[in-house]
Amino acid sequence: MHLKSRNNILKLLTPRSLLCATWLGKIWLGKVWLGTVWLCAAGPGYALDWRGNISTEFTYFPKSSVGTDNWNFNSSVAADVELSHDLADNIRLTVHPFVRWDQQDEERSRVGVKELVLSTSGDSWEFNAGLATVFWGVTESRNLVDIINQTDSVEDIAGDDKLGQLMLNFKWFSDYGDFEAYLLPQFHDRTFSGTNGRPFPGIAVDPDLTTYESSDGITPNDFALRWAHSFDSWDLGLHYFDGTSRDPLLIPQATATGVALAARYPQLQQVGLDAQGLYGDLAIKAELIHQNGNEIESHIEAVTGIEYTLVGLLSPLQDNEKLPTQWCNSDTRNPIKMLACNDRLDLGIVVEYLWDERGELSTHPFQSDLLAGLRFAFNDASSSDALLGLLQDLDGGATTLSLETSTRLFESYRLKVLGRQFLNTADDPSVSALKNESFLQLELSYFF
Amino acid sequence: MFSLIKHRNLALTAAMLLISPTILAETPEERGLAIAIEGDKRDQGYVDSTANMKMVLRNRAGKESIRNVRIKSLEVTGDGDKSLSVFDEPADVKGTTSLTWSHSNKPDEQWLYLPALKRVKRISSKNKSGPFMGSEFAFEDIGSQEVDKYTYKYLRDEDFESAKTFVIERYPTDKNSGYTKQIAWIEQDRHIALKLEFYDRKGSLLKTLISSNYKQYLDKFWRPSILEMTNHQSGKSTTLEFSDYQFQTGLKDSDFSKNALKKQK
Repeated sequence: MHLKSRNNILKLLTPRSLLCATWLGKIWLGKVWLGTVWLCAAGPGYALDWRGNISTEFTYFPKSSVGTDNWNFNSSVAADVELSHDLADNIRLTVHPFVRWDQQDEERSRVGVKELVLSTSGDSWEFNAGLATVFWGVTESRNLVDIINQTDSVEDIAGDDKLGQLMLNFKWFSDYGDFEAYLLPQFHDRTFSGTNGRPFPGIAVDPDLTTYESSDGITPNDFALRWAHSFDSWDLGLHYFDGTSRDPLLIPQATATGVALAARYPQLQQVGLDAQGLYGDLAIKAELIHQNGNEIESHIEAVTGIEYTLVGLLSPLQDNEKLPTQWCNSDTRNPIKMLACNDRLDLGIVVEYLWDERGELSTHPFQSDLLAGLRFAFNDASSSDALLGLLQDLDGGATTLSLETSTRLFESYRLKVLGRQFLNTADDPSVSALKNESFLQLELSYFF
Repeated sequence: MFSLIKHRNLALTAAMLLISPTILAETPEERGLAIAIEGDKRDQGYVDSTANMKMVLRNRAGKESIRNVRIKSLEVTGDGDKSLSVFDEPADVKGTTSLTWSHSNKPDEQWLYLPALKRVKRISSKNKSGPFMGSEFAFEDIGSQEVDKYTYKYLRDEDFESAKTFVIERYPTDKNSGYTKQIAWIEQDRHIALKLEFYDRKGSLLKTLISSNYKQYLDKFWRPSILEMTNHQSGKSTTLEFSDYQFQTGLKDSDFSKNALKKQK
């Protein structure tokens, strides 16, 4: 409540005065050092909107790493805030700075900007210029079609965290679907954990060894086109991308201090399809891409599967005359009753198959894998949820178990517990280094 | 878009009203339907509306939890309305936006925008009986109320808190509904619902909704400022407080498109 009233005061103050936001510090885009950025936005009559959070994270690795540094416990603090402000009617500036301090991994301690974008739009069009984030995709395990933004894998190895991408983007919305065009004049390397970071992939990536197929390096002329449309129960998307692969080839290389991985970013042409069909509680999902390039063998990759939601899983129990209402209400702290009498629990079943035509020659470990997941939505006042996932390499390889659960505390906080366990890594050379990297993570975030 | 706030117009049902039989020959079912159609008819022509909604969730021990949502609605002639909800609180879902296109003759379409992921997700609208944001309101309680979504039966005239009301029963036609029946107390003068009882799949009384502090807008449309839902089985309750109602604000169809989801402030 205090926060709300403070928000209101700020919202009242900002429109009437010159609004100046100043960020001092290390702000980098790719390898370009921008030095100190001073940003000032004047806009009488327009309020500032924001959403942000400050989070504290504790991670425990029960086993020691095969890497050079031995540590089992890490702590980290991060903050990010997305600010948007209308500079004039229909011209919006969005700025999204973030900062993280990490106890162990120097690559994870940083200050940066995820978004710095000007947007304007009409009834049937939209234009964005600047550093922005775009999401494409429908599947849960891996989003093959999501090629615009680089993966920020130093945040989390799952690949859901993205870096901002410099772009000029135009969208046109018509009865024949949405047409989108992107010019991408700058490339950002994928981020990787440092030599002290965990989960440690066996050999560290040395950023000094990075090379690009394109002689333009990090200032390429990449572009992308997309068409997306909805047909009754189906949402379809088609795209074409010509430019620098976001997914580097990692090549071991001898250095003065031992062996390190060198990232090589080839040029590629990609066409892709994403589709989702929704039939009641059943969603059918597919993502399919074809890649081709001088340094990339022409090949197809796919992720396809279903998600089926059992809404009110236990409500048939409630509807049963043999389970009297009084029994449920008599002792609400009894865990058996709490479960049996919770008619609000939804259970989602996710099954997806991940495939790469190249098989063992894939540049990633998902050449033939199966994801089986259970998603629990408790639909309580704290919006508690849990996701239990099992990813199995079907070519006799590794198993990854993951558990992610979260709940709201004190209205503005969220507590998240994340556990990942890597099993059967010995038979799978692409992930064998992960055998000691299972971890448990606790994260407490304050939202404002 | 809210139950008991208004009932949607339909060409079909409006036509049925015109040819409805004389009072003398009316069965309880016909009379119940006629009352529902009249309520629907009186709410036609609102064009669009915006409002702020504060939800107060209370558990059995009285502990409160607050949500703040901004709502925009667009009247669609000949079909269900479109509505857009922007969540401001709790802070961890700030900026999350939902878009619903309700339909009278096919399943509703629903999308959710997750700002942290920049992701627009199409979601199933089949989940009628599930709770809305952990509250005592189910999705079907706050969704667009089409006349065709129920069958009706007039029960009796009755005084409710000194107002003359029609008491009618209505039965959801959707097999995914969490209810076997609802009983509504509808004020005769203004054709607005004052009280609604919800009966669960076992046929026992599950919840009671009291709508109060009705205000009239544009000299025509009545909207309640307070909705109080009490769950008799769990002892929990949820209050919805509406403020800042605006009508005919000039919202367009493009403000209720999938692409508009990302642009809400």
